Amino acid sequence: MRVGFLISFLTVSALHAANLEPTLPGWDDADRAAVKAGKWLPGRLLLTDEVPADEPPVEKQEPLPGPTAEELAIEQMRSTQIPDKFLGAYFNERPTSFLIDPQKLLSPSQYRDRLAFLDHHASDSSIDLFVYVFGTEQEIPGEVRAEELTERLFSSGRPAAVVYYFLGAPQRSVIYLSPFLTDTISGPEQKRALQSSVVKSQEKEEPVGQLEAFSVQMSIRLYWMERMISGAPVPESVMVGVEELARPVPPGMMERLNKFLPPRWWVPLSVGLGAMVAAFGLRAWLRHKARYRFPEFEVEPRLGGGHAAGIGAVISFANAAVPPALQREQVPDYLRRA
Amino acid sequence: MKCPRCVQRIHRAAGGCPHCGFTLADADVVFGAEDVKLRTLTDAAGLMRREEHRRVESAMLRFNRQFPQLFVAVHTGSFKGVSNLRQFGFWLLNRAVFEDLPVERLNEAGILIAIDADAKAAGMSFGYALDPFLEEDDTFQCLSRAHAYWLEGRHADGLVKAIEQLASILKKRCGQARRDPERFERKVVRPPQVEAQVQKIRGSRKLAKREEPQDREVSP
Repeated sequence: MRVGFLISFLTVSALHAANLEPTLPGWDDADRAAVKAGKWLPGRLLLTDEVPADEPPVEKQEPLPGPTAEELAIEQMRSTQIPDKFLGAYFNERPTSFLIDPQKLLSPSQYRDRLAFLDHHASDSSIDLFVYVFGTEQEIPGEVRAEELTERLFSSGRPAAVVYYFLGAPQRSVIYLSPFLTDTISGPEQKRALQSSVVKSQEKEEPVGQLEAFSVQMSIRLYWMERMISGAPVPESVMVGVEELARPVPPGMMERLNKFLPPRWWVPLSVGLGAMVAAFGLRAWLRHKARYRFPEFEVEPRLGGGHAAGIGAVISFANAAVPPALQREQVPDYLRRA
Repeated sequence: MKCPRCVQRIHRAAGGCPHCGFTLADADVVFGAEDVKLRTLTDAAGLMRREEHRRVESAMLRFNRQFPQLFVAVHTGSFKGVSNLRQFGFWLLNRAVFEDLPVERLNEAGILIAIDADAKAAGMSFGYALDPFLEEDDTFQCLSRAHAYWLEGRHADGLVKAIEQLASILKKRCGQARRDPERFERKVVRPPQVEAQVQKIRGSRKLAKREEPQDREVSP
């Protein structure tokens, strides 16, 4: 029964496969005759650029006109310019929020988070932190005099630090302090605070993360500024310039040693070196302690001398032109003649 | 072994030089027949400063410590001629009484470096104990080592170098002597006398002649 089922299954499968496969192409009699006569080469169309007579000619498409130099310059200008419609929101009046982003460069949630932090800072510190967010390559318009503007907008109310922050380019950030603070916080200190914040932000890769790190560090620096104003002592590390902090620390001796010699070799090498030093030390000590004794032989006296008659060499050092090599031959009065 | 006057080879145990007849008595005529008391480092010519003096002395002490049987002495002076330098070395080692040496170190075990300040020459002499171990060429090497320093007037430096070279050579000789003492002994042992050998041979022949007639008597 099983064999019958298997045969019927194979038959049905073969029939099904035959129905699914396309039929193979067949030869026309005329084509076969032409191929045999050598008048036609199969696949010749693939080897040449000839267009088959029955196909419609391909129309050559004209290249699309690219942007002109003027258009490119305008586009460039547009990308660096802050659209006019946002200028008022940025610069016309004292902002009501600590995070100023009329261009909506931050997503609502990002904006909310950053603003929450700045609000928290304002509640905790006597110096408010206002962050103006601009695009990466945007330029502050020439007619906007930022220092004057800060003076004008922030002369009243709580003291404030105003930061122009360029999203994705924290190194372009600028800080301005309200008039109350500029009298007490020196320019270098402001610069240090800004640079410190920039360095912190550059530890992050994402633009929003950079903004977060920047504002946190700036908040810390404002705290120390606050302490400075109140006359409280400020640790020296805070006063250290960022250039010094940011300067790459040269690798220490241990790191260099690690690089030069992996730690797994330290023990065998130390043992080897110790053994060598000990061997050298022992050898030196033995040599120092060594005493050389000669066997004693009876020697008959000569020339009437009771103790000695060993006549060694004589050498002259009267003339540099007569080196020892020329004096090797010891002859009577040799040196006098030399 | 050479004569200090004519620098000709002399045989072992020669009572006087077979070429020029030189003996210690001749040197006594020139330098005096009395024993002289002096220190192992005597800078009679005043060639060294005090600090240099100390340096040479410490080199000498080092040598004496390494070779408990031997000692080095240095004498600078004016000996009026190079030929006299050899004779002076020979004479001084036989006539000197070194005050700063222990009694057990005899002059036989001494090595004297003499510097003639006027003639600008230096020589080396040594006692009988060193006869088997030190050769003229060894002393030449020691003096050659110092030559460059002495040319520049750095007498102390030259002396220190010479003493160091001497120590180096003697250390080597000491090792060789420990391994093969006969080789060094052969250099100094007096060769068997020819006359004694001849007498021995003759004596044995005479004895044989006397015994021959007795044998004849026994035989029929």
